[in-house]
Amino acid sequence: MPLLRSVIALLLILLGGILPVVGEPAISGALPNPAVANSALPRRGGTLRLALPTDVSSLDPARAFDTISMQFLMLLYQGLVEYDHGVNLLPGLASDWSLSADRMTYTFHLRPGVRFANGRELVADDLVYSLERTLDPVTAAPTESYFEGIAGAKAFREGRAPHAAGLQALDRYTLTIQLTAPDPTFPYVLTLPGALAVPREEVQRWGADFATHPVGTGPYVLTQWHRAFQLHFARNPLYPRADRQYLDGIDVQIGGDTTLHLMMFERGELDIAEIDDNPGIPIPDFLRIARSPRWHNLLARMPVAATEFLSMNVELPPFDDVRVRQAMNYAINKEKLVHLMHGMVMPASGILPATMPGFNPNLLGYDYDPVQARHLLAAAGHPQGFSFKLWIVSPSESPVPAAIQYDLKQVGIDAELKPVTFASLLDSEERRHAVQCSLGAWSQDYPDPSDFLDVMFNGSRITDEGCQNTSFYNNTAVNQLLAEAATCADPQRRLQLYQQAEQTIVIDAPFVPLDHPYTYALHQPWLHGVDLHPVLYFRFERMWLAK
Amino acid sequence: MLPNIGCFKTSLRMLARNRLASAGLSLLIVFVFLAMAAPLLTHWHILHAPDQQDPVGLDADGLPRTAGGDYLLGTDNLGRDVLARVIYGARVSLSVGIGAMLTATIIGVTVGLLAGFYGGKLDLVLMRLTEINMTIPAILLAIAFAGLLDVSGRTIHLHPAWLSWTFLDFSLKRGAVSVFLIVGFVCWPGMVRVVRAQVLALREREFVQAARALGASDMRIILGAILPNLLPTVVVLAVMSIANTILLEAGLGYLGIGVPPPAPTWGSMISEGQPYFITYPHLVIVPGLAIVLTVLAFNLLGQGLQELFGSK
Repeated sequence: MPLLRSVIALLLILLGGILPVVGEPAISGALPNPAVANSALPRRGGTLRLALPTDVSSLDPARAFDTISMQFLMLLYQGLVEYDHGVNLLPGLASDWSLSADRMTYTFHLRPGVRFANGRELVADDLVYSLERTLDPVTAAPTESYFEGIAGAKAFREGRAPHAAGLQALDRYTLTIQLTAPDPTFPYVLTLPGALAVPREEVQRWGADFATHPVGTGPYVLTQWHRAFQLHFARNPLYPRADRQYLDGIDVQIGGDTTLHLMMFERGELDIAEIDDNPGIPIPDFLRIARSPRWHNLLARMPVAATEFLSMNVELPPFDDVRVRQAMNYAINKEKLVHLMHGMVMPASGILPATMPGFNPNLLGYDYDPVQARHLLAAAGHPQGFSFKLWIVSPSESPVPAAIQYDLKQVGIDAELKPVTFASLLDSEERRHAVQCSLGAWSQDYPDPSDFLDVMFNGSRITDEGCQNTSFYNNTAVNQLLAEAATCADPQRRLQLYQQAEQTIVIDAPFVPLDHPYTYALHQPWLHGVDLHPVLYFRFERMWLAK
Repeated sequence: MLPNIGCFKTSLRMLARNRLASAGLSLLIVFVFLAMAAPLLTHWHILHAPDQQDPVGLDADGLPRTAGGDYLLGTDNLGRDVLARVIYGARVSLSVGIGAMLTATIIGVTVGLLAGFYGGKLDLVLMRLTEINMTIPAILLAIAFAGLLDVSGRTIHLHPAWLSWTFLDFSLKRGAVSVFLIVGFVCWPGMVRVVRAQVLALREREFVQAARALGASDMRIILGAILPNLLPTVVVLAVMSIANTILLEAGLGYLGIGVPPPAPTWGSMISEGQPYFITYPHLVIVPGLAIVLTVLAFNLLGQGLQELFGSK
């Protein structure tokens, strides 16, 4: 028996345990989890029990674009490339890829024999279909704008061409993607949900219901989805890698709040306390858990490449005056926020988080200086301050809005809190002239400064609806720097350009950077493989239960 | 027996003899005094300011302080004094509660009087409207009304759209006034039925018949003969309904649609303190007790008044 067990163990290692680890660099950012480091060999079996406060928005990769849905999309679908333990890219559906000399054409060679959960083999044409589906205005994919650099995307979107000319399936297993200009971030864009492979026949069969009847090539399949009640995923028998399918199934209960989930977790009814990335554990319970001998070894922490901020609409008074915006920056005490959050966040002075390439430790930001804030307000013609509406997401346990409201009051600024749902905040702030000031956050879609600076501060991207530049900030000098950086081939020079742009933006102050959060993962001792990923957070398909 | 003592004094004496009622009344007097004196107490540095986020109000870990020391009832998660917040919260709760009671009483008594006095079709229409109103739970109706208002306020037009009588427009912002109007608008049906029943009985009484025979106008009969006889009932109902209006206000505050922050209200204090219930129960227990005691006080007083008027 012991011999048999070791043979099985060895087989498991050969099959998967070790193979993907070879050649992968150490985890960037994530703290190593002691429970995993000391664990025994991965074991197959068991059902992972999770809970979510609200339902998953969609399991259609063209429609879902939030960190919760992403974690489940990764169970069901695959893209051409995928992340390793950190932010390096590994082959996914493609076995390898190459870039042409002009840096504008990518050629991907697909692995033969990959099958969708419905049994059909995946071919290059499926990726052309999936990407065109994301580009199609009818789909209204939230990730669409990331793919507009594909040659012919514009003509296809405007209905002037039946296909995007830049997407070509040369044969069953060869795909080329041609861009209109060199874009060093494009391989990262291919990790976004909009680039995951979906089978045409299933999308056409289900129509809008594809979101609840997903079919992909991923390690798991959705077997049950009672809306607003429960989700269940089971192993996909057609998926080849055993090291992505240790768990028999994954059960997700929907409903209750994070405090309730923590109670259930402490009673052993859940395997992970909270799978939301922000902050992964209720703020009031954080220190109790972190200091508890039972849990503190099971609480992993990771700095999130995210920035929480106060966005001011520079097109609306009084924030059309740079002095007022700078006064807001001086008036808010970020150290106090860190204290109120029990150290679950780091204070932010700039836009880029510390884990982001191009982070500038020497950036000139604003120190807490209410006297300076009053001077600037007086110079801007508001010696008595002013009042404005601050849109915040509700419900929220965060002490941040009330703390900011108090700090601003100390310099004479009256912030009326306007609590709205997350969906309604997004909808409103992305419309021009609609929201004066809002509290928001941005977390990376991929590890590149363009994902922050180009998305949120490029004036040439301003639109009247669905605008990600929620402060509607438009500075020609910054636009030029961002345009130059976007196509710059020299990585060093590129990051310098982004740093220059960031410094200019911080001086112009279209927003108040507040903090960069940590995210936490609290799990049971019997759950292993809980390495937080800097972009994808939890990767359930790599976890296993020792129970 | 007590020849030279006026009716008011007799009533007070009888009320004082009723132990429960006098307990309720004294509790209320304390609350009202504290609520009214709160700004003065802050001014004299006896009480902290309710929204002052004191750095020493939190411990080194950024956690609330428990009761004792500089903060008699501890601090909340922002380092604000819980005692100050609960006392300032009484200002909101009592003023909204009483304001809502007055609104509900005025509407309820008017509708009940008209329905009971005139009867017939008017009675039918008014009572059906009242019953429709009663079928919708008060809290749901209040949420719906509150949803119409937001912090930026809403202009309400009291004139037909085709007339430009802008002087009849008034702007209502989410705040104490809007909350007591909302609570008042959903709390009146309870009063209508009782008032109507009393009016039905009163209008057949001899003194009403006599007034009518003498040619008194309807208005005179209603105001001069019926309303004074309704007063004891209305007062008891009104006092007891304050307990309801305060609870409803706290409910709205708890749901985040009451008087907006940073104004402290008991309901919002409970909702803010709820996540800390395991570690810092005082954040929930203190405002919770304040609500319980106030509601109890109004109920006791109401009961006392009922016994008082019943024995008359």
